[in-house]
Amino acid sequence: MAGRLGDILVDKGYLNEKQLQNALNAQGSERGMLGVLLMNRGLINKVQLGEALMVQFEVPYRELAAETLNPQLVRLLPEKFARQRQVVPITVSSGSMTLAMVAPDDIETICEAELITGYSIEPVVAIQKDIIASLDHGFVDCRLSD
Amino acid sequence: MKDKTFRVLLVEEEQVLAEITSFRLELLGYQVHTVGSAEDAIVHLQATEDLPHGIVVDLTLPGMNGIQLIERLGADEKTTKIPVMALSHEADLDAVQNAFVAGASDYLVAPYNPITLEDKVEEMVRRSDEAVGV
Repeated sequence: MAGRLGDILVDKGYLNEKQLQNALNAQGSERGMLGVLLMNRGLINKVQLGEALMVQFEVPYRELAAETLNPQLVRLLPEKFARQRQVVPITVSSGSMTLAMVAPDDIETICEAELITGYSIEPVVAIQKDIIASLDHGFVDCRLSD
Repeated sequence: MKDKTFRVLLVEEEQVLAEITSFRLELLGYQVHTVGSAEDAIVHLQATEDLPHGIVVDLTLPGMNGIQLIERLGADEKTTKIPVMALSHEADLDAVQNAFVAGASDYLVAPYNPITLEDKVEEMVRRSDEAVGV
């Protein structure tokens, strides 16, 4: 990882030290939450958060539009796994799957996703809120599907 | 999974669904041939000497729709014994019944659970294998 999210946002000039410190004081220990907290406070926007996440994890950032995601893609991973690990498949092509992740440095999750799906995983980073919305959209119950 | 290679014809226009379904089945050892329309399916089935052990047909197809294709397959002596599974986004009873009346042997609603797809395809080719008496 190329640094902490808060420091990256300060370096980019999106946030000052005091705003960051206030947010950190309010933040719990859960990963991925600082960015959401900063957005909820109106201190940064989604684009700025995406840019910072891309720097932090050194993988591409993807803004997800849940309603445009094919539910069949989402269901390539079991719901429980996807929700626990905060991941959602967003594209597949020629044996490769792009997996949107809150924490794309989570090698264990990447390996398990490869085992489950058979696809080679290309991780990208996405905002937790987008991933949850995509999972909600993809796992809307279908009466006769199972 | 299997001692012999089973062939599956996938009739699916939607690229993502075709990719996912064929990949999943190939991973399990099936030999999958994918076409994007009912017309292409008919051309393939007329031309090939290696008929598939099962056919998966998305009911939403351009041109001739999936129901019409299933009826056509049932009326053709060459393909009438091949089990056909209908794949559809429609989960209502009418849609399901229409597929079975047309001649489908099974029905799967998309988005499907990948495990359900595997189970149903396995059942389909097993039925086909028994019908051929191999």
